[in-house]
Amino acid sequence: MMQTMLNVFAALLLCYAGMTALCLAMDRHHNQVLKRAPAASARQGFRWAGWLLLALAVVPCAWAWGLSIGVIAWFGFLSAGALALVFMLPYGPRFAAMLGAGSVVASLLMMLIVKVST
Amino acid sequence: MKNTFRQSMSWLHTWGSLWFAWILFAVFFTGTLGVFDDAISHWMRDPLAVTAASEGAPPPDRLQAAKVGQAFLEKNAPKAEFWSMGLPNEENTKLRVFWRDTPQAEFQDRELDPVTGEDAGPSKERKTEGGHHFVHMHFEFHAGDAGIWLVGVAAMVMLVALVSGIVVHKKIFVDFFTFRPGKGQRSWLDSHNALSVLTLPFQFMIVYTGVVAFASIYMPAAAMVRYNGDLDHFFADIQERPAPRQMQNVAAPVTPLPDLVTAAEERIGREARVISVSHPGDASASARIFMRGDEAEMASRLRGSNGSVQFDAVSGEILDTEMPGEIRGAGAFSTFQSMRALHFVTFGGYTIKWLYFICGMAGAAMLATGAILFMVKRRKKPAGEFGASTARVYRVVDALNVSGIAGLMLASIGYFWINRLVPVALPERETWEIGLFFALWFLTLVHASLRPTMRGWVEQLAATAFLCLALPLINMLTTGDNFAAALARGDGEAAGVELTAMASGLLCIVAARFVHRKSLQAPQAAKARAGKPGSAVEADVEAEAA
Amino acid sequence: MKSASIAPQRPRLAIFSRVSAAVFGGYLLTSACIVFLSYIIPIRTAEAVLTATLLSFALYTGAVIWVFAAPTAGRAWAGMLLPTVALGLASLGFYLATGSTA
Repeated sequence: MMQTMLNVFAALLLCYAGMTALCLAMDRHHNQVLKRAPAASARQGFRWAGWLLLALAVVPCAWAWGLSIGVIAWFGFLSAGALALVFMLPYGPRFAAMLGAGSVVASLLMMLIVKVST
Repeated sequence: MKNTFRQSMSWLHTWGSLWFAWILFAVFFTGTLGVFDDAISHWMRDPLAVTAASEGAPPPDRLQAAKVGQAFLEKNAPKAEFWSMGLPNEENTKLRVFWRDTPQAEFQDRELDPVTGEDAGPSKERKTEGGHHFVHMHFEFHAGDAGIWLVGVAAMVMLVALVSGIVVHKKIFVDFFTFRPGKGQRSWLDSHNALSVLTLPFQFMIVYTGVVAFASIYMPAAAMVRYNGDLDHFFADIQERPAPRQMQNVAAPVTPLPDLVTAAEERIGREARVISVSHPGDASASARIFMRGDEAEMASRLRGSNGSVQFDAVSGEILDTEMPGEIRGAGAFSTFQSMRALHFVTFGGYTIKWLYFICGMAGAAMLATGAILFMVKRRKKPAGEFGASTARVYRVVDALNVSGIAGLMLASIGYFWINRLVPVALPERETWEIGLFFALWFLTLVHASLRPTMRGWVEQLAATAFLCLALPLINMLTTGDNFAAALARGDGEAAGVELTAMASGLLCIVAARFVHRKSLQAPQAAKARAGKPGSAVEADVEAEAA
Repeated sequence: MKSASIAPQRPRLAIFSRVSAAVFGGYLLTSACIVFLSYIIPIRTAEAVLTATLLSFALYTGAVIWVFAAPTAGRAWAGMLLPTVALGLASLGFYLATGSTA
C-alpha cells in the first residue's frame, strides 16, 4: 500500500517535472519564468532533461502495476502533470518552475525508498 | 474565400460539435461520475442501515437461492427464451432473477428473498439505482435502444471533432503549454486547446473504446454477413465456446440448477456468481455458470476470464470449462477485451480511477469551454449565420449551455439530495429518484430560458455549490451519518463521496464568482456589440493565425 | 461566410446533402468495407470479422472527414457510393464462392 502510494506520487511528480523542463525549453515560457531568452545549450539541456524525466516516469508505473497497465497509467500521469503545470504557470510561473525542480528530488527519493524497501 | 481543407474542418468542428456539445457533455460528465459508481451506490444505499440490516443475517446460501430462483422462473417464465440469476453474496444479499420471452424482448427482472423465494417487495432498505443511474445516463440516457444510438452518433461526432480539431489547431506543439487567463475569448480558446491537447490520448482512447464496446450494435455488418445474421454464433466462435444450440421444440425439463452450481464450484474452486440458461424447457437448453472474480487479481490484468462452466441444462453434462485467467481467442479478441477493460476501468484500482476521473472531467471541461467559446465569440461579434433569427438562435444556445452544463451538474448533485429525501418506504422509489433527477434538470432549462444568460450561470452554479457543500449536512439530518464518522470507521468510499462533493462545491463557488464579475463588465461588451457584424469563423482563423 | 464556401448556392440543401452523405453514405461505405476486409484478412473468420469491426470506427471517421473536405456535395456522394458498390460486389463474389457459414 505504502509502496504503491510512493510509486504513484513518484510517477506524477516525474511527469510534472518532465513537463516543466520541456516547457522551459521553449522561448515563450523560458522568458515567462526567467525573464530572458534561453541560450541554445540551455534549450537543448531542458529538452533532453524533459524527455528523460518523462521516460523515467514509466519505471515507478511499471513497479506499481507491471508494464502493460503501467504504460496506461503513465499516459494518465502525463496528462495530469501537464494539466497541473499549464493551469498553474500563468498564476505563479516561478513557483511552478521551482515545484518542478523540487519534484525531481522528491520523486527520485521516493523511487529510492521503494527500491530499498523491496 | 478559398475553400481550403482547414476551413472545411473549422466549419465541421464548430457546427458539428455545437449541436452535440450538450449531449456529449452529459455523456462525459455522467460517465466520469460513473467511474465511481460503486462508491456512489454504497453511499446511496446508506452504509449504516445496510450494516444494521445484515448483522446477524445468515451467510448467503447459493444452493438454496438457485433452487428457489429456478422454482420462481419455472412458475413465472415457463415460456422464456432466456433465464438468468444473480446469486446473493455478502454485499448484495438478495437473489435477482431476469428473463425474456424472445431475443428481441426487453429483460424483465425481480428481486427475491434468497431463502423463501418470495418477492422481496418494498424493503426497509433504501432501494436505489445509485451510481448505476449515472452509468445509464452515460450510455443510453435511460432511453433504451434509442438512447444507445443517440450516444453512438454523438461519439462519432466526437471522434470527427477530435480529428478536425487537430487540423484546425495547427500550432499544437508551439501552444502546448499556453494558457493566458484574463483575456476573454483568447483565454477560452487557450483553455479549450490545453484541455484537449494535454489529454488527447485519453480522449481518443475513451471514445474509441466506448463505441467498440457496443460494436455489435453499431457496426454489425461484417458479423451479420459472415454468420448469416446469427450474432450469437459469432460471439461463441470468437470466444471459442461451443456454438449456440438450435431450438429443437422438444419439451425437456431443466435439471436442478443447484447441482450445476455445486459441480461448477468444484470444478473451478470459486463461488458461483451468475447462472444463465438458454432455451429453458427445450431439449436444446444449455446453462452457463459464471464465477466470482478475485478483485486483486482482476485489478492486475486487462483481460482473461473469471472462470465459467457450460452445461447441457437437461442432462447436466459439462460442455465447456473456462478456467480463471484463461485467455481465449487470438489477437483481435484480446485487443477487444483490452479495449473494453480500458473503457470500463476494471484494472489498476483507485489510482487509475482517479486518473480517469481527472481526464474525464478535463474532457467534459473541453466540451464546456468549446460550447461557451462559441457564444463568447458571437457575443463580441455576432456572425449572423441565421439571418433575422440569429439573436433568437443565440439565446437558445445560451440557455442550452447554461442548463446543459451548469444545470446538469445541479441535477447530478441534486440526485444525491433526492436519494436522501425520498421516503424509504415509497414504492418504486428508485424510479422516483431518476424521475426527479430529470424533473430537476428540466427545471434548470426553464430557469435558464427565463433568466438573463449571465444570471442563469451565476444562479445555477451557486445552487450547485450550495448542494455540494451542504451534502454532509443533509446526510447527517436524514441518516445520521457523515464523512467524519465514515472516515472514523474506515469507510473511505462513503467519506470520499462527500469529500469529493465538497471539493466540487468549492470549484463551483470559484466559477460562480468568476461569471458574476464578468457580468458586471457587461456594459463594455454591449459597446463592442455595436461593431459591424462579421464572420466569427474568420475571427477564429485570424485568432489562430495570430 | 464559412458556410458559403462549403455550400455555394443553396446552403441549406447543400449542407443537408453533405451531412447525409457523411452519416448514411459513410456508414454504408464503412459497412461494405468491413465485410470486404473480413473476407481478405487471412485469419480465422471470427477473428477477421472482429479485426475489421474494430477498425470500422476509424474508417467511418475518415469517411466523414473526407466528405466534408470534398469540393462538392455531388463528389462527396460519389466518393461514398462508388466504392461501396465496388466493395459490395467483391464481397458478393466471395460470398457466392465460399458460402457464408464460418
